[in-house]
Amino acid sequence: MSDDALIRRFRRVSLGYAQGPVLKDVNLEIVRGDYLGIVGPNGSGKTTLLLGLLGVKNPLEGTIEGPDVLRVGYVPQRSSLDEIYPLTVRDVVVMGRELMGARFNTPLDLASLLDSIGLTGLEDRRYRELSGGQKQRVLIGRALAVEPELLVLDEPTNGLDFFSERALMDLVDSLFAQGRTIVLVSHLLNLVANHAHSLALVGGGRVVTGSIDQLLTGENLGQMYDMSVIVANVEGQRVILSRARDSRDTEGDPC
Amino acid sequence: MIRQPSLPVFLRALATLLVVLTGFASLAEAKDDPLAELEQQIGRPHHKASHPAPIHHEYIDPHVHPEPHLHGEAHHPLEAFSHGFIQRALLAGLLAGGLCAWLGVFIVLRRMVFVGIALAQVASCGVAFAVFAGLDPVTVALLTTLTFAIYDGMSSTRGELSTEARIGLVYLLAGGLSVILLAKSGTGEGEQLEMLQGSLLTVSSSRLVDLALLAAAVFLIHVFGRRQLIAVSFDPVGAQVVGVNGRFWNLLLLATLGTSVSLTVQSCGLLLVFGYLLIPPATGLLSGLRLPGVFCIGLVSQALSTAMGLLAAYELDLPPGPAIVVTMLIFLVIVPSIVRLCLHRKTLHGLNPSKRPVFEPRQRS
Repeated sequence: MSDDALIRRFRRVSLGYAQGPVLKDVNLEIVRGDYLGIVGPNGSGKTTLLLGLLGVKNPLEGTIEGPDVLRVGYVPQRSSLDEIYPLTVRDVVVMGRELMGARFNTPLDLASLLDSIGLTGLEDRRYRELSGGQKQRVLIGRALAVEPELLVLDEPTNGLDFFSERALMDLVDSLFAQGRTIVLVSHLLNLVANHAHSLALVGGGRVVTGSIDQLLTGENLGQMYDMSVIVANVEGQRVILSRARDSRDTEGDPC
Repeated sequence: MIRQPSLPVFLRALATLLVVLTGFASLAEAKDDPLAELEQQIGRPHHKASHPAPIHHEYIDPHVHPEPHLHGEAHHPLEAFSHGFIQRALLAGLLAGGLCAWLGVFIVLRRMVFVGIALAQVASCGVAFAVFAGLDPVTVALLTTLTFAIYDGMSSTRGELSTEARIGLVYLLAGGLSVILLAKSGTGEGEQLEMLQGSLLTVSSSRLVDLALLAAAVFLIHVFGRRQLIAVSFDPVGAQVVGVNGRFWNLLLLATLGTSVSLTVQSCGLLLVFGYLLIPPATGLLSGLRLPGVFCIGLVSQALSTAMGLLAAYELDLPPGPAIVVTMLIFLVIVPSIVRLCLHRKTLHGLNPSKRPVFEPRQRS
């Protein structure tokens, strides 16, 4: 693997807080063109891993390697942003780029960017007045405005309806098709299973990486979530279902 | 293409500040003994020997200042502003109010109003300690508020106690200590009243210079760092990802806030400083404008409130600090309605058409 293609490499990394590590001995490599999904139960350390990936949190042990200058587009969880701020779509979208202004040779074509994410003509609308799906698109627009080499999305579909979720993930897939490197963090197994190309399973203080086919098995997921999980294929789509606890308890029971 | 809408607003604010400073420069050459001037206005001889303490330590009961109109003489409605001490009070109010109104926008947006009142109380505690120990009040107030600001910026949000609870404890400690120290200082009652009601009427020219320099420094920091300050306030992680040092900018914001509060409490008192920190930003936010508009409405409403409040205090024989606070609250009720009405009219005239998509459900045939 050439170093030009490297985005991030974790070598025996421990990440955590003053109270102690949350994740230990993490080995992970992301190269250009990857579409990595990070999944795990609530409180397993997905956000901690994400902060390490973004360069916001330094490792307690081990090393994180990567290019000295890497443009990262970060799409946070909508719920982490306070809607009291009287910001317009334009204000939010240009926010990151303005802070990195000196690094760009050409001005941002805001109209084209908004057009590409389905927000044509909404530049002067208040961010807080938008629907959940539109807000998520604005945050993706903000990430794209910095012309990122790596696009990181943290639970992008939380709180979205069926249609908005589909439309948003189609947008993310199209960005991947354009050559972007994507990291998608979600607790929704079906979402990650049908969009990401590789996987990092986070649980029990460890991170296991591999391909979707290798890792997304009923056995692995059952062990991670301590329940019975079925992984099926329906019309070319992976479908992951949890089996009712009663049926697991009675598995193998002829009655 | 990116529009740069906020810069002209900041430049206009800076120009306004320069105009205020220019006006101040002419006043600074005037008499630098406000108490002497005040007593000259009320027709009493000024005996310096009877006022050995620094002028800003003296509580001047505003009820004693002259009311020419009460004696049946006709007077100009703006006559109050012909007096030097009222002019200085106005300038002090404009500078302190402008500073606090600007910083208050961040306080309200970051939901840290309690930090604002706690900072003001800590500054008062610093003044009380200085009075008790015979130290310079400004230096002690500055040290105590900066210490609290840094403590607040560095302290972790995780723990057994919430941030509000910890700040509340600091507020109670500072409030209790202030009263105890003042009671033991020998001149406690006067100082306590001065801290609550402010001493706008006795602001000296040297204090105005301090305020003007501080205002210039804070505005410069905030003009050049506005994008960073807004970014770390709105999305701390996102700001760090694009290379903004979140901890540094947060500490800088708290340091400018602490410095401003410690100095303005000396000139305006606890109540007025907290009013300046909260009411003008709330007026701006309730007006439904974008962020630059919020700053502008806050600055303009505090300036008008200060002038009208002082005028009301002079005409109606009221303490100036509370009069300004009440005027600001009246502006809080009126201004957002007027601004929203203007915006609504603009929308009705088609200048700002709503682009909300129309939902047209279709039924399956």
